[in-house]
Amino acid sequence: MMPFGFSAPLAAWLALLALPLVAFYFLKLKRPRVEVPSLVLWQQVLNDSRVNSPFQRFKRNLLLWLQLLLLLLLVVAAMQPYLRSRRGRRMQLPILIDCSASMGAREKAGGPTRLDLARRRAAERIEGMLRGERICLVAFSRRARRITDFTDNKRELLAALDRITVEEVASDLEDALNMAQALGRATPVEEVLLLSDGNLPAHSAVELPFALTFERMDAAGPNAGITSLRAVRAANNQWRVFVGIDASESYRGPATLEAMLNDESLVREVVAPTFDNPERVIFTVAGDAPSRIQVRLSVDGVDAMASDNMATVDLPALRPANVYVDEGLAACRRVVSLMEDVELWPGPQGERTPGDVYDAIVSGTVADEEALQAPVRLGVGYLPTALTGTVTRLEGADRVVDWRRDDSLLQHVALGNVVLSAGTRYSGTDGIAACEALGFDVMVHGAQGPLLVRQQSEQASRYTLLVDIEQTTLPYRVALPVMLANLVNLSLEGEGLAKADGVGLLSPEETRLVAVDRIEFAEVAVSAADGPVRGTRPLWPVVLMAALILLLIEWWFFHRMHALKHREKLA
Amino acid sequence: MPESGSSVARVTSLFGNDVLQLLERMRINSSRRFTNRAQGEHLISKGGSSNEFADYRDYVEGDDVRYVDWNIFARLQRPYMKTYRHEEELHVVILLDASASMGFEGKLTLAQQLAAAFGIMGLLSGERVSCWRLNGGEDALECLAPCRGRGSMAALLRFIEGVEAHGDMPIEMGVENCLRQHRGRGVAVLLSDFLTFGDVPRAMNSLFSKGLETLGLQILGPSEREPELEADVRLVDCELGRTLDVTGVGSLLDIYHEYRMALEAHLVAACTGRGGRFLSLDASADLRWILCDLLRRRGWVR
Repeated sequence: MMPFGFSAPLAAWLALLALPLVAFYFLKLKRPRVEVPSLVLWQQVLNDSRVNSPFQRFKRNLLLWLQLLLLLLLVVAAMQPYLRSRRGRRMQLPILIDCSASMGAREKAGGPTRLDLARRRAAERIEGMLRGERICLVAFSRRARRITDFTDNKRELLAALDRITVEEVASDLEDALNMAQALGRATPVEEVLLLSDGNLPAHSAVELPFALTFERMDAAGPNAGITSLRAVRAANNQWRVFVGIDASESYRGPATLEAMLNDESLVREVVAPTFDNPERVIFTVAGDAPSRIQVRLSVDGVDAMASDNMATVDLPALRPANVYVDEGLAACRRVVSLMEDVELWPGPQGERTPGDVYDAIVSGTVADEEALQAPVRLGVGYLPTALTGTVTRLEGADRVVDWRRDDSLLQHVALGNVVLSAGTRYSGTDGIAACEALGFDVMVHGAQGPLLVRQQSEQASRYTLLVDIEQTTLPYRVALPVMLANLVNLSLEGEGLAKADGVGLLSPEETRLVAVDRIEFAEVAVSAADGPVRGTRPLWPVVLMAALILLLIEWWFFHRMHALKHREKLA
Repeated sequence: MPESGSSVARVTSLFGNDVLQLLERMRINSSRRFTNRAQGEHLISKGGSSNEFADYRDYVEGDDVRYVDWNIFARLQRPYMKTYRHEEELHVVILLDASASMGFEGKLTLAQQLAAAFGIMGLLSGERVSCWRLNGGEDALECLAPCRGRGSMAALLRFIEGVEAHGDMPIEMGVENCLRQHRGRGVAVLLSDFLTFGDVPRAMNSLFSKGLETLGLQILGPSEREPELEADVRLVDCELGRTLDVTGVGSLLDIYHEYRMALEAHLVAACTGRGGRFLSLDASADLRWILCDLLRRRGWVR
């Protein structure tokens, strides 16, 4: 394959202009007539073999040759020559531009961001677009979004390119590739260009239906930043605040972390995070009143990203959790009564809260469900009315087969050694499906039926233990206090009183500026290119420049040189 | 043109009286013995009867004893003959090319001045002088009949002053035509630009065979020596009207100079090879310098 091609080969017909050019050249030669005494010497000169040598003929018609060469260059420029890339010419090229937080990193203070570099690369591709080629811009961070349709309008593409800004979130390459696939359904796409700093997952399950060219931007400078800020309810009506500081691989040196409580300095600590050993700073804050914690990291020297140097968390005022436990459930009351910062209802004298509104309810009868208000409920020892046709209670030993360990209520709860002297059984063959159809999720599976179900609604989460707790060994297991503690936490989390997460945080991967140079996809692996991957490069500007230079040479030769000669003669 | 004194009328419009005075003291120095047998004032080789001693030679029987040098005979007892130089007539033929090509840049003027100068020198030294105007067309050949003596100077000057440049006769043809009518041996002063397509050496041969020593004077104008042409021009031959398109004249000037020098060398060889002499002059050259300096140094005049 020739290393170059022409976008508009039909423009070669313009070469026919050489015919009128030659004709006009000879016709226009209205030579000045000079009368001389004799043509003897001139005739001999013209008959000389040196004058008639090809080079002399060329010299004598230099102007014509220069004009023909100029025409040739113009024709070649009109044919829009281009230099082929290794991959060949792509008529439709989606460009995926990573605009995640790490793309805002700089190599040095005041230098261009990675996104600026990516923009330049994309702009080069856009400027080098040939006739018939179209580009579609896709920016992606957490989500991918199409910036432009496939278009050959360079102005539109460049304007869209300028609109892309860094978003302070992590990137999701798969979303971007899925969008590229979607684009490929409407328009044939053979290649996709990915411009990123390489802060991407090293593995992806996406199956690429097109060739992916991964251009990685140059590495950014050293960076350190706050990657986590979390407050957890602690004892004695306090918040325990955790701050995580991460650093990139090239980061060396200390940084100063300062925590401000309502704009007053609370903690100031020098930290020295490294890539392998992130720093953690922990401090407590009184939870008596609502407060705002602002954490700021000051880095000595170059810091590639400023966006990860500050985070804020708003902490509400803490209060005891109001938990209602049926007086018939002695074991549960006992457990709840031992919890810190929890008020157990009904009180010793049967007191209740105004309006019977609680944070969590542990009830032993169906009737309490209607009478008491709470966002989290745990019913013990009865069958919800909706399940009466689906599940049947059985007398006799049963056992816990499995349970949803990821559920908030059952986190860290071990039910494997709980013995049950009663159980349940599905009435039909499609038991679980029937439960789910009724809006119940089975949390704990017994041998023949569900033991614990959850009914989730927007207002509340209702858990129901379908067997009597007294018919199990649960009161004697640690599982019960853990489960009730989870219940209380669940209720407090709903109110924002269990934990609070900071805002303005980047993921550790973004702050650590981890850059992969190879992405393993489902079938192929794509390595990052060392530098810009040359696409098809248009040559017409070079040819046009050569034509201009030729024109200048021609002008100089036929005017300047003669002027110099004339001056020499005068001298 | 040099000016003579303002109070004295000029004898000729070709040059001033001062040049005329110079010419009165100058003689054509012919290096060959192409003379007529008629008694003249031009001394040639020994064997004549003039008063100017030439040489000695051995006496042979039958020699006129009046020419025996008796003083030597008395000393050596052997007779030696004294020989004297002949005083014979030299025919000065002036061939003036007056074709159209000579009308450029004062070429004809200088040719006229030189023709007049050589003619005056011949007349004042008692030689027979004839002048031929070589033009073209109907009056292709006009001749001033051979004349002699100071009294013919006015006619000679009048004839030369009346010459105008026109016609297209090549110099070699003019010479051939002239020699058909000319009689007499001597010196032929050939004044031309020698820019002809014809065979000039053939004309030289004819002159030589007629007993004429050729003094060739090529007169070229400044534009012929250093053409100031540029770019693309159409050259027109003033005599023949032929045209020649030349492209990029500037780049051809070096070759032009080579050919001009080659032509000059060719003419020099054609003249000297036949016992003649040749000079190439610039039409803008000063006449006094040519006569008093150049021609003297070359031994053309004395």
